[in-house]
Amino acid sequence: MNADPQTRSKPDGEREASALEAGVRRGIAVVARGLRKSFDGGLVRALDGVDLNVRAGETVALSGPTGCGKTTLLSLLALLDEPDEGELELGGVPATRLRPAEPWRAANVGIVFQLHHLLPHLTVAENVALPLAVRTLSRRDRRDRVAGMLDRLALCHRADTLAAKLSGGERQLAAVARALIARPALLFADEPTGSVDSATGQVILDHLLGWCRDTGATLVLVTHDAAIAGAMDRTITMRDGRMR
Amino acid sequence: MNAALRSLTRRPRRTILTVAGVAAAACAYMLLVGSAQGFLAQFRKLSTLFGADLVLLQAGSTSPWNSVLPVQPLAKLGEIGDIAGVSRLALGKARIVGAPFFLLFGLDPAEPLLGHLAIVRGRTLRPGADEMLLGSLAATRLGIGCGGEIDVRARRLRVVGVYRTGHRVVDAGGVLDLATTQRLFNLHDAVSLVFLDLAAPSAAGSAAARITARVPNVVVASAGEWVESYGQLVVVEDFARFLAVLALLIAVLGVANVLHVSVGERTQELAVLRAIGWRRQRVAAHILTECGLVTLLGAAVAVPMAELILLLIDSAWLGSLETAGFLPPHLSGGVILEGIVVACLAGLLGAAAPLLRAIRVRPADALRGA
Repeated sequence: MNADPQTRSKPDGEREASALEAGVRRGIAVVARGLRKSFDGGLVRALDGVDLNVRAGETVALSGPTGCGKTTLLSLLALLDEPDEGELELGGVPATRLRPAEPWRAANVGIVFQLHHLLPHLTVAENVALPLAVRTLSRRDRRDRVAGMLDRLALCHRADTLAAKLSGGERQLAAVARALIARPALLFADEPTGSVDSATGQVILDHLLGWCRDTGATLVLVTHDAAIAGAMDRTITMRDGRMR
Repeated sequence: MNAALRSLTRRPRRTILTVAGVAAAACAYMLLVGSAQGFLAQFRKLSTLFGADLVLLQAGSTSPWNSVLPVQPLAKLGEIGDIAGVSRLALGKARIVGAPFFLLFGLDPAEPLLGHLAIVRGRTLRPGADEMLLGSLAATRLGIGCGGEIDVRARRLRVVGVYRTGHRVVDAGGVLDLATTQRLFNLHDAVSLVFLDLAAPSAAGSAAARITARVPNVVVASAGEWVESYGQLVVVEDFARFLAVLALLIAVLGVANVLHVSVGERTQELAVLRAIGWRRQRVAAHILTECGLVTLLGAAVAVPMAELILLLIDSAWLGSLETAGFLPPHLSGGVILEGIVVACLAGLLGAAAPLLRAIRVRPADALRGA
């Protein structure tokens, strides 16, 4: 599933990657059945039986009103959280076989958070390189790859700037670069354009869609913006923790 | 290691505050343990300071300062053979200008003990004169040298010399003529301790037995052991132990609290690292390396901090003459090493709980808390 032709070996935790690749070849990226998730001891029901199928290479928008469960669903799909009930398969592999999730995420997943979540004390290049710290790459390969990614996102001139000193748009672009640097086959983006102006939002969207087009990666993107949703292959609308 | 160093150098305010917190706790540990050990060492060092073979003290006395040996029974010492020299010592303490608890040692200029004092300035005492030899530490701290005057219990004594023994408690006091001391402190003819030089030091055991048999109400101890026979030593030892425990508590709680806060506030940062694929172990190693560096740095800063405080105490900026007398002028290597080890262990302990919590929390929960 990993779209990285330069990855020399599959370190611990990437063992499932080959199964995932097989799943992707069969055209399966995400399958969710009856996902439920509650918070505050069951008082807040975020997801109430969600079924979802996403084909490999597909770009899908998740939309719906605030609090309908979009971000919660995205967290479950990225294995950042666990469902209370339901089944989840990623690339045809049950999510229960993908624990611990960190190595799997490192090999296969890129995440863009609504808030960029860059580490403010690191430079743009250092932030972008963080996912590569767990990969078996030489220092030179790592540096080249980061430079290439920053070039792709037109951030080269900010490579050595601390994240804390970037503008809002630059931060989100750097967050996109960090999500793409490991050449993931699955991309999850939680309102990636929500905190930037429309022009920067369009740039970010273009980069995400361009990446999917170039590498065949799958994108699941949460958005409130109808225009952005319209740019996806498919839009799924949620309400009250269910698919509408 | 590089990542940890980067994290520390790029967040200087946080690093400085954390290092300062660790340093304060480690410094407190080093000072308290150093003081306790120094206090005990000073007390024990009294044993060998005067260099005699046997020491007589009042049976049941709790400290040299309340030992009273009447002169009459001591006359029987002349009946015991093998004694080459007898030195009597009368101890007193008085409030003088600049020192609320000034220790005074009364010695007879004609007896051997006074000869053991190294006079570094001036001359020795004349019998019966209102004169005083001042310890070198007292002379420095009080700013009084030869020719100066000190009032003790309404009696003006002239400083005729300065001595140095290397024992800070003794060097923080003064030496008077024995008779003057007895008058000043209403001792009549009594003394506090008697030091005996034997013709044959190897016969100390039999000499002690003969003295015990002839002189009532007296304990005879060898020069190296007499301090051990005092009940006050138990108090000093307990106090030292109490200070060590207190120091340990301060260090552990101080360092642990600083690192607890430092790591705890980074839960979200750690969640981001896990979200992008860092394993728990890697995140933990990263944070522990940082904590280790901060703790080592804090402990390293603590050493000059503690030395500076001791220097200030020694130079009268902090603490009284008596405090300076009982505190060591420098930290020992053992105390420094102990302080560093305690700080490191406390740092690991303090970082462990929030770190375990941070790496156990699901990344989504931590990120949602943003």
